[in-house]
Formats: sequence, structure tokens, C-alpha cells
Amino acid sequence: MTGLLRASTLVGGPIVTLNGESPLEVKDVVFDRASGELRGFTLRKKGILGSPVSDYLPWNAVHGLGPDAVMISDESALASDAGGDLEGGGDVLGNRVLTESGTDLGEVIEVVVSTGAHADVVGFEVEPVAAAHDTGGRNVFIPMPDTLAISGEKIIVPDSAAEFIRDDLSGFGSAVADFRSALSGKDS
Amino acid sequence: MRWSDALGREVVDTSTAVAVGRIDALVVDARASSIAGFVIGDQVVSWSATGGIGSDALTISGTDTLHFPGSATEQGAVDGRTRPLDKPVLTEDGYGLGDLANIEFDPATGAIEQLILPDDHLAGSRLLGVGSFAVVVSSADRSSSNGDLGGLTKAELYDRAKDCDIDGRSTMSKDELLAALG
Repeated sequence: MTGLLRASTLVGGPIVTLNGESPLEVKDVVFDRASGELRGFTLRKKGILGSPVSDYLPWNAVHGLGPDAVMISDESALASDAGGDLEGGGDVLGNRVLTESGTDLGEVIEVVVSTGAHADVVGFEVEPVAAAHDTGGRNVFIPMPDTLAISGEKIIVPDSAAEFIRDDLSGFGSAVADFRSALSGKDS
Repeated sequence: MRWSDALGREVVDTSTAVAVGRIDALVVDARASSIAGFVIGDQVVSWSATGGIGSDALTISGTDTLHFPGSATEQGAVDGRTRPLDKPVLTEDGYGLGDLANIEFDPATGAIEQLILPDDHLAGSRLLGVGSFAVVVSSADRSSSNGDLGGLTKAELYDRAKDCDIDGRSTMSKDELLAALG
């Protein structure tokens, strides 16, 4: 099963080993401010009042990612602390999405990731600027190219991204695929 | 035989003809997808030291076949921490398939044949781990389980039918999905 989900829905989800143990849960999702990629997860003990722990789960140690759990092969996947890995990281939420030619598409309120063995950031859910793009005020989904410029305030996407905006998640997966193949076709 | 039917079955020592206890739990070797032994009180008898479960009782050749837990797996079974029934079944890709209702195994060999969900079942060979939190199974999308459609749940078959764009999938039964994909 593969699909898309909002990254924030992973918060509070269990980290589960392939042996069926669940040592910790997701405290927060960490993005790389320079690339927009997922860097990993900060962790906490389970429960609403779960205290944060220094353990950190780097993205490359994730075995599989789904709506019900973040899977790791075993507890050795957890780094004892984030160390320098979190430096320069940060949240892309609140950034404005701007096209290369300077159109403001709105503010990032959610990061959309694909699930499965090759989980990846595929796009952003954006709250559009008022009355723009005739969305009736609803949030829209904007696909993310494989690489993009991101500053901590703004995310620059190719103009063509505007053509692949969708207003629901169900059609967004194919829009991302179409957008990326259109981009790679242009490059080659 | 089902896990729940094995529980409570009498354990008889054939050297003395005395009932030494009852099956309190089963020990699972997840990677081998098999039953590795039985818990009797606070001790364990390995599957290999028994002749499998008979139709009325589990027979052992003597109480010297019983041992105290020697591995984490045996310990988890004795203290009940890794009891699999009613635990969520998760794929290695983090998808929940439902809570485990029962386990079907071969009473002669101990091979786990099926993991039974409230309204579905999946192949026992997909078992990866049984822990205190969840029962973990291989993902239908990874190469390990390709070509073994019979081991998938209906939801997984439907997902695959969606990928293959099979018409009429939303009204198909599990068998119809299998036929359409096969």
C-alpha cells in the first residue's frame, strides 16, 4: 500500500521495530531548511505527557513509513542524540510558496509525504492568498520538485507547479508524478 | 489448529501417565513463521521435544523436557508480554491491517499458516515479529511477497487492483479480486 499523508499526522504515532516493540513515539517531524527534505524525527516517551528524550531517528534509518506507524528495523536505528544533524534544520511551515516568475501561491500549512519503503516529501498543503486562483478559500496542494530553493521564509517552485495544483489529496499523487516527469522532460 | 484452541489443552507426561499441566501460551518463532514451543506454568517445552499437539492432549516424554525460559522470545511468552492475540497487525511499511483475532497453525509441524483478522486473513509466512506492541508482517509491496497474492488481505488486494486500474474492483469480493489480479 502506498499513499500520501500529511506529515503532522505522524506526530504522536508510534515508532515500531520489526520485532513489534514500540520504544517511543514521534514528537516532531524535522525538515531540512535548505532542501525541504525530511531529515528525521525527534522522539518522546509514549502518552500525552510523554517527556521528550534525546533519542533521534534520522530519516535514512526509517525502514517504512505509513499512516499507523513509523517502522524501524531495530532500536539501533535510533541515534543517541541529534547532534549537529538538527542544526540548520527547521520547520518549513509558515513559509510562503513563490513561483519563479514571482506569483505568491500561499503559505505552507502542511507538508505532504508519500508512504512506504521510499517515503519522501512530495509537496505542500498551502493556504492560498485571499481570492487568488479561484479556490473558494480552500487549501490546495502544490507538488514539490526534486530540488528547490528554500530560505526559511520562502520556497521557490517552477512556474509549471501551478498547473499541477490540486484541491484534494486523492488526486495529488498522480499530479506529483506528472509534474516531476514534466520537469525532467524539460531538463533533458 | 487455532491458537485459541491449543490454549488450556492438557499436557501429559507419557513416562508417568500424569498430567503435568495445561498449555498456558505458545512460543512463536516469528522469522520461521512457526510455533517454537509451549508454555506450561513458568516453564517451556520446545516444539522439537514434543510430537506436536495430539487431538486431545500434548504429550511430553518426561518432565526433564521442560526448561525455564532461555531466550527473550521464551521469556516474553512466559510472562505474557508478547501474547499476539488482540495486538494490532502492522506491515513493515507502517500500515495497520487490524487486530489479530487468531493464528492458524499445522498441529503436526507447528508451521503458522494464517494470521486471522476479525474479517480477513493473511499468510503466516509474512510474519516478521511479535512484540509487546504489535505483530509485524512483511509489506505486500516489497519484492519478498510478490507473486503470493493469496497471502494478502482484501484491503491489500484492493489497493493493488487500484494500481492496476481494474474495473469494477469496488464491488468485488476477495476471491474476485484474486481472480482479476491473477
